[in-house]
Amino acid sequence: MKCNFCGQPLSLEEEFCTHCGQVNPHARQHIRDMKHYKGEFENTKQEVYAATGRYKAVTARVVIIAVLVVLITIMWYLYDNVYSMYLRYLRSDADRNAKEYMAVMDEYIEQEDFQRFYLFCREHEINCYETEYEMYDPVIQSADYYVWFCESVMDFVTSPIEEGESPDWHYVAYTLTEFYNVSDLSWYDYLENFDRPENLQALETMENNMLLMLQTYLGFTEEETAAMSELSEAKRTVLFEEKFK
Amino acid sequence: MKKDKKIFILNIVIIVLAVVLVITVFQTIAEAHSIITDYYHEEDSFIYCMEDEDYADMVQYYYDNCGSQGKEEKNMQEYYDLAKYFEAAFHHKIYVESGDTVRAEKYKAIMDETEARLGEFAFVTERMNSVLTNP
Repeated sequence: MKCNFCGQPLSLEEEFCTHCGQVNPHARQHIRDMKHYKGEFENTKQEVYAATGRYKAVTARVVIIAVLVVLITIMWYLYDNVYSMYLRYLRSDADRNAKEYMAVMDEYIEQEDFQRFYLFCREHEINCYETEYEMYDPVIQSADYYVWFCESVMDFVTSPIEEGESPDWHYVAYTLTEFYNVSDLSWYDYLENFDRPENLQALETMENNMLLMLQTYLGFTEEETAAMSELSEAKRTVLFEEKFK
Repeated sequence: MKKDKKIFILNIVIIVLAVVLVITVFQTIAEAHSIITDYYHEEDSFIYCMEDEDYADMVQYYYDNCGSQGKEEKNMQEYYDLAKYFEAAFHHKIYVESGDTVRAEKYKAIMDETEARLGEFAFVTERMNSVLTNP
């Protein structure tokens, strides 16, 4: 561009002509335009920064909410499944240590300590279904009711009886009946080694002990207890009822 | 303004979810703890059993506390010995009456061993024997 007064060359940024000193009107307009554009640019920049900031704040909170929801879902799942997870852990532990645990169980059976045998199986969640422990199934099932029977006879012996009331023999009769049901070996014939000598011996000892308890603490005669296993559940209940009328 | 309101609402949601999370964490820990730890009977329970002559429950409490491995705490030893004495005496009697001397001896040994450790509770064994003799 050229100066309107002296015709010398000028740049757009020169507000005055360097040769004649006159005002360059194009430069003034240019500076005004630039100030205006710069102001608009700054405003837009600030708006963009503010919008980005708000977007980031919302995004961060949404992410935090998503993480919290995931954590709560996980915790609810754990809360709901903690028992089954614990059982799975115990069962896998029992599978891993089968040999060691079976040695302990055999020792309890040999010592005729069926209370501790039963407790041990319960503590370690010994599962007989399709595992190495399946041959113990008849003893485990029977020991459960044997232990319950012992507890109910002890209760029978120690519970005070109010005048005019008959002693509570129902649990004794119930656990005896259930013992006879679960110790019936025909239920276990699909299992390998279900009738091994140790099992037969254990079942016989438990039954013998139970009959001795009936004689000693409940006043049954030897003849009555000898026929106990042959009686039906109904006849056994009648026998108990007549005894404690 | 609208955006600020949105952030405020999101903040409230975060606080609520954080509180729910803390509650569920404690709930889960408590649940796990209750599953893993067995119920424990304190000294008081054994004393009540002794007072009520409810020795059957005492035996039960012993097994609940000690499990199959018989982990016995020293401060409860006398109560556990009482429970073991009663259980042994309970079995001893049935074998004595049936004439099974081998098994009777086994339980007599447990009775003697536990009785020797009883100290100030030794008098309870007489009450136990009396309960078993006159059921």
